[in-house]
Amino acid sequence: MLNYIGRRLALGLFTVWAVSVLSFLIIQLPPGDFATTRLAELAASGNTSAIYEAERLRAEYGLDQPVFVQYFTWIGQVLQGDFGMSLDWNRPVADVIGDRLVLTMVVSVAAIIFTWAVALPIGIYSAVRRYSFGDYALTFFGFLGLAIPNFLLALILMYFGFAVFDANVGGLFSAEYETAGWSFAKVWDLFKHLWIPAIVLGLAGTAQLVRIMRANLLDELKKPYVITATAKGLTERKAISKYPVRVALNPFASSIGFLFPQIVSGAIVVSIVLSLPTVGPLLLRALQAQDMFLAGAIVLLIGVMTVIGTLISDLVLMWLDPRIRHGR
Amino acid sequence: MRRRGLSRREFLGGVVVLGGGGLVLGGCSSPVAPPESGPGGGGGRGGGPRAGLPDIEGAEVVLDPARFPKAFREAPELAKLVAEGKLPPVDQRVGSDPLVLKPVHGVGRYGGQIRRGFIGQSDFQNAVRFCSGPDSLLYWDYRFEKLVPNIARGFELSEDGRVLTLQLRKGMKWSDGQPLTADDIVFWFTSVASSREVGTGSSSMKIGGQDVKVERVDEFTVRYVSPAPNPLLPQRMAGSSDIAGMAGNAHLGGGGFMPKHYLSQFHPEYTSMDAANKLAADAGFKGWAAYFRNQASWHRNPALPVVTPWVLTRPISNPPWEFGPNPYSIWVDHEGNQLPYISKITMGNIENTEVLGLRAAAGDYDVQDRGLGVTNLPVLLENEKKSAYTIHRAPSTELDCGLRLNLAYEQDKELGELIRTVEFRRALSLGIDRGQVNEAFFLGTCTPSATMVAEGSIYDPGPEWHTKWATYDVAQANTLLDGLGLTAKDAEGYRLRKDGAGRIRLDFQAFSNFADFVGVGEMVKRQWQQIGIDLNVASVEGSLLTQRANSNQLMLSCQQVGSDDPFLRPEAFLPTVTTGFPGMIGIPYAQWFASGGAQGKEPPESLRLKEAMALYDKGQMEPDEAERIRIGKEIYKLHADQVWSIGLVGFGLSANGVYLTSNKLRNVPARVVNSQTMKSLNNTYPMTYYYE
Repeated sequence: MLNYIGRRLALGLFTVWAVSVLSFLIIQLPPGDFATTRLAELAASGNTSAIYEAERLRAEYGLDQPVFVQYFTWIGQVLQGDFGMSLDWNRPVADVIGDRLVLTMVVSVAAIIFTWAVALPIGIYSAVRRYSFGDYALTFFGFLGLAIPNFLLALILMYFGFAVFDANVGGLFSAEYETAGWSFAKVWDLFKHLWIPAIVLGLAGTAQLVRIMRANLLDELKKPYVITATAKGLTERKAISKYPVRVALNPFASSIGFLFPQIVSGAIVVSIVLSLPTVGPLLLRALQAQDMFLAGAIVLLIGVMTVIGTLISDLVLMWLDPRIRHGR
Repeated sequence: MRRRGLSRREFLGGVVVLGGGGLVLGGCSSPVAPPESGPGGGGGRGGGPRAGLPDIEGAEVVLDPARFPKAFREAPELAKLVAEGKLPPVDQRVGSDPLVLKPVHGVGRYGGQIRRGFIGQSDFQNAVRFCSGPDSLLYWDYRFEKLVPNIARGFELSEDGRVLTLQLRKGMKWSDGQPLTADDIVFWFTSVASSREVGTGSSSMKIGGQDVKVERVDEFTVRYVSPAPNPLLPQRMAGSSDIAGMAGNAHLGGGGFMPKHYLSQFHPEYTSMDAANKLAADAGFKGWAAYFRNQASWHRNPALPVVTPWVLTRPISNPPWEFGPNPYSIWVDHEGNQLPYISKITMGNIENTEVLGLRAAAGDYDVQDRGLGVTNLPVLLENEKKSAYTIHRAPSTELDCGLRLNLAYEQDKELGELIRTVEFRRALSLGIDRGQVNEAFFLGTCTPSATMVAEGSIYDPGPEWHTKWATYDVAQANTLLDGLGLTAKDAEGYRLRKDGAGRIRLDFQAFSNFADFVGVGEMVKRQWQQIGIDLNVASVEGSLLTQRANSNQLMLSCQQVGSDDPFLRPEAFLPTVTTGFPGMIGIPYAQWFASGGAQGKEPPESLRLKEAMALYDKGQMEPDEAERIRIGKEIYKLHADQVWSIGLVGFGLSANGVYLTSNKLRNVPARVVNSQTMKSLNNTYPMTYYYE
């Protein structure tokens, strides 16, 4: 058992290292660097006079050095817990990400809760009442969620929020609460904004989970132990929720691994469309501006979360399913 | 989504009804209104009347000492601080020479906040163009006709244009209460401007390749001594150059002045290299220079002493971006109330302009200009009543869209030679239906034009030059091309190259920001089919465009074109910028001119660029204004005749020309001049805005 966890950890560390190398290389692949981005932006705002800006940015941040030198300088700092200064924001990377991390988690968790709250009951219902009208109707809605592109749904909901409900569109807070300290009113304001991203992000995963739950449960329902339980006089509700549903939950546990990185990155496109102050838009902008210190830190963070998530889902599976436990 | 329930025809009608008139919306229809000769005598710079739009108006800078207020009042929250003994009284704070404004509609009352949106870290110009004052030493009057005092109390230019004397305001203070004196200008000039680590490296403080010298005369007087006549130096200080105010330039090393008492602690000349570097390292910066530039950033450092009417209270990097009133603001209204009236500006970070447009339409912003464009107009107009705001239209003094040619293009020898051939450029220009571009991409709000100033500008060489080689004349274009011997065509009707390498296919790379410039390229590609010229159109990201411009790989592009002043903003006309996309008219040529022939590449005589550059140099050093204006006109004429760039449409709304203000706000001018040089919307004087 400990041996197993130890091996997983070692592999995880290697993966994180590989992610850091690859991400740093990929960020540097497009032509130009942060200095050319800065020049382009200055030019777009009509400024043609900052002649020294590009050359000194390159010198100060070592942008003119070979990529591997830049990588080792960067990773050396990261190992000492210093993520450096974001070129684009002129603020320490840790602060820039830190501002947004909590809200990103709130949005992601809200979306996950929405997904599970909707997908689990529907999955169970449509397995137990297979081919009923309810099965078809609910599955249809689930698939709608899967079929409509996220960003389109976001735009539509936003427009309805604007045109029908007169709601404050986009973002997570109204202007008056953005800088206010946490209070009940602020949480309520957050809640009023949260439903759109929660639905948009949640609906996308719903259909998939409904189908997985339904298929797994259908497999289980036919098995003799279910018949035995029913024959022994357990109510349908108890017979199903106590045994086959528990077994059918396995795929949920193994998907935790994928949820972890999502929690920190947020869905990038939807976050941009809805103008959410989350990590997703930050990453996109960092990549566009070739701010490799910020982008590298975010990609690294996502990598670490993936590794941790996978590890946790392995452990949860072991705990949930004796077959896996004993198989090892 | 944007055009729900409103067809384009209705919208165009809507402009007329709601705006009490409309812009001239026709494609090639005849131009607008007779040019205005302003009361200033010098004539306008493109701010004349426009059919269907209200006249230009704005707050007036009171210059007559007899009309100055005798007593001063302040905002209640500042009065409270005075009562608590935390601030000196208001008459000490504004000093003995305040900047007196007569607001456009009336004296206001204190309080309230303005909500706005900004679009990420690169949008720092947002606040610079709204609530920085501006903080240039000099500024233009609202008509954009004559220079007026601003941070400086006055200026005097010697007859030969070599000596500029600037008087500062006695008793004027930085926002931390320390006096602003001549030393702050000298500090900026000697320790910042000329430094490679913290200066800009621009040529604003040079004339004829030689440095301007800055001398302290006394505490409140500074003298700028130029080695050659430099009559445009005051205009550079007033406009959008890097010496025109700290707010937009200090983080790059420009500004024209800097708070010596504060910034010198970060500068090794005033402490020591070790001490300065240690301060920087403690704050997480690589070296003193990076830290110095951060500490000099108006939009990033709330501790920086400034002279703007509002001071930073929350930096752009920790949104929302916020400003509060400067207790030492030198702006007062003509009754002695210290400005600004509005005590808070708060700007939310918006990740994309769609959300910004929707929020604007929902009435979530009290003043919004950034991020709104012509394409937002339908939905904005539709919600004007419901959300209780007013849409303002401010036509620009420049081109909204023009094709830029790289005259020094060398990648492909034959195409490079063609681009350097005047008949070829003229044919390209004649082959474009500008009316169609105007209708399709600018909703008909622009005027088709060659690369040119607005009608009625002092530099306007006359109406015939606005359409010189800029009409839609396919037959003449084909005649010109045939005349170059490009008569062989392929099966699809495209002209063939002489070296046998297929058809003539030009290369167009652009990126869309203020308008769909890539889309314009696609349209031009279809139009040039008729003259047998093929075009390869590519959408390229801004940073890549910069890099390709630097390596001389760009051939054609499309952008907004700064075309309102040949001396202050020459980059679209002449090779004066040596790096980046703005220099794409010919970076090797620009390097040749800038280095006096030592670097770069000499432009061929046939291109006639040397003639234009000679005019440019002469005009810059011409103390006599009438003669300088004549030379300016010559440059425009030469450009229109030689078609060094292909102007398409201009004087429209795509660049900062559409903005909204809440109906509750007062003292909002009906229309202002929209110019980069004016740093609009600063010329709406937001410090005089107030809520009823």
